[in-house]
Amino acid sequence: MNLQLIQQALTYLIFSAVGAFVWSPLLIKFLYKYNITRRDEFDFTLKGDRNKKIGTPIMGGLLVIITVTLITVFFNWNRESTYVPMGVMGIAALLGAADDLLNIFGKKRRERKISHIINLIKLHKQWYMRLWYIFILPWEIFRKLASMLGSHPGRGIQVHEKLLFQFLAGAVTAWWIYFKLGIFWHSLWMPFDGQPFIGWWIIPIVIFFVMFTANAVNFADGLDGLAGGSLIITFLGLMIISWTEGRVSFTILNATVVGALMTYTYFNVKPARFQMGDVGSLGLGALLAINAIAVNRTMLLPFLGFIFYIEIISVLIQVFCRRLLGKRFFKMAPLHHHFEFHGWSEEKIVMRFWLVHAFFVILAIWMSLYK
Amino acid sequence: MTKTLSLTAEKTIHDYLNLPFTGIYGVRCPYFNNSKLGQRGQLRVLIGKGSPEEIVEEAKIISTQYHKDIFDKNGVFNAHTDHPAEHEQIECIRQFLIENNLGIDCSGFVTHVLQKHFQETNNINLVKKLFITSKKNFCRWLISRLRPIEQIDVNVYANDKNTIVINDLRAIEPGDLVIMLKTGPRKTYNHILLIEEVDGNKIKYAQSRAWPSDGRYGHGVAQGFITINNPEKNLLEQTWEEKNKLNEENETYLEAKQAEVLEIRRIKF
Repeated sequence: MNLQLIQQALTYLIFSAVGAFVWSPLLIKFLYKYNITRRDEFDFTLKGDRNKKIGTPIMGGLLVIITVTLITVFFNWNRESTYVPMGVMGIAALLGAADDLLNIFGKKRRERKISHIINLIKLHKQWYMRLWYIFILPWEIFRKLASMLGSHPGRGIQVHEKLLFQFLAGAVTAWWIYFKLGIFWHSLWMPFDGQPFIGWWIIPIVIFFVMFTANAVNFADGLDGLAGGSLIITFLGLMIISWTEGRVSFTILNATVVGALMTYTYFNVKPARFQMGDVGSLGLGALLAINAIAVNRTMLLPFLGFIFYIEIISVLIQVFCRRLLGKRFFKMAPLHHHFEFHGWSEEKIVMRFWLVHAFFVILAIWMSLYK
Repeated sequence: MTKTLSLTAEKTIHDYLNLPFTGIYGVRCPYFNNSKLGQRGQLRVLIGKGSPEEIVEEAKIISTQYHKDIFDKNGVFNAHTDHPAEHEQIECIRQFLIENNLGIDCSGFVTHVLQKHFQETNNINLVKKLFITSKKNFCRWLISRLRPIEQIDVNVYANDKNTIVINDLRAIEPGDLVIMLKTGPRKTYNHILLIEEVDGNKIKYAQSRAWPSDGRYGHGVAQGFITINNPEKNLLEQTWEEKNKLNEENETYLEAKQAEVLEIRRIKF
């Protein structure tokens, strides 16, 4: 075992945690100063006791994103390993930041009916406007589909727009994996089953996992400490897997994330000093996916991100049942709201989810050791 | 001898008349018809097709989601200290239900009751048996398989494939339906009543309805009577009574009178 590497990684972890702790007051001050706080006017999940969350700063995920970016750029920059993961995290985080800010400061979005656009295509007096409406019609149909799945026009970025950006992040990752990392990465590691060659199929698989995981973490960011604590466990697992695989840059990168997340979670446990926001959840979700893919443990992502996947699957099941069967499957979705509805306290849900998540991450580490 | 619906069907009517909330009794289910809002792909309970249990459950979820505090975290009604009288508290819940589009429409009510009735008496799943649409219209057929209760309206019950017309008023039995097609002052809607009980010449019916005189908060599931004075004459020439109002004062009777088609029908299965 490369003890020197783990020692180095732990050094980064400590450095990152302390670094984040040092500048966290600045961030809190900044978020309060510009009133980047949670409002209830467009957040129906703020019920009963949770009403107390109104006024809590969001975008606390910046603490992790900025700390990890700075440490990685200055001390762990490597064009062959950390370059693309940081870029993808940056794209996803920028998207999340735009969403967070628009949710607070943006105006309510207007939703135009498809039939209205078709009428405009037929009737508009300017030919170039008719052409424009023909051009945007497929996009509007895509928006309508997303709307049918539960995306409602609010102030922030809508689901169909997010999907486009996340697809972009996934595509960058897939390009890097397929074209830059070499033929070895055209095989997909399977637990207990070696590495079957899958060729270009790796591209859609990577895109899917990046998009799915980023959104999954986003859904889990609903209770104080839930996403932060679960991400610590996940990145710790990834750090151990990278270490056993001898991937120096990734071991250090994961350790850096764990350190920053520890500070973030310190401030995020109930009652939260700030909340992660989409900037953190989308960015770290994308980074989680790409780091697992980069150490060729893509198929372990459902275990490494167990609680996140359970949360997003609960939403998908709920939407499916609601739209197709007209019934609720869960009382509320994501799953943590279902337990809240059943009277579980926030702390009980969070700690039980951490434990279940930790068990599955340990399972992932155990499986990863079987070559 | 009094003939009634099966016990489970009677219980369903009872539950609509007294929604099974914990901590309060006597909340009558309001009327809600989705035709004005035209919501599609929505929960069936939010489009006027929910069972009593689903309506109660949804009320609790909405109360929790939008922090209305109508119910506590165990789902028990939070007694209103400003309005201690029980009827005021019942009205408080009914207002909450109506403002959140929770209620049942006439065909939804009939479907839920009859489904229980046929399940108990004939071991038949009525909803699966009813003809809703043909396979030629594949999309609609598929939707009717996935969400049958939402697709069953008065026209489905008026379809000869599902029901037969009963012409003899002496032959009316519990479970029969009084169907009114193209009724109302502008002949724009349909309505349906369910025969709940037959006691000699007195017929008890149940329905979900909104009379204009009910105002915004008075409508809902209700019961009434038709006394067959002369079985040789048609239904409109009998005595209709509901809410202590007779014939012309009884708005259900007026609806029946305005209907282009007024029939008594019986499910075939």
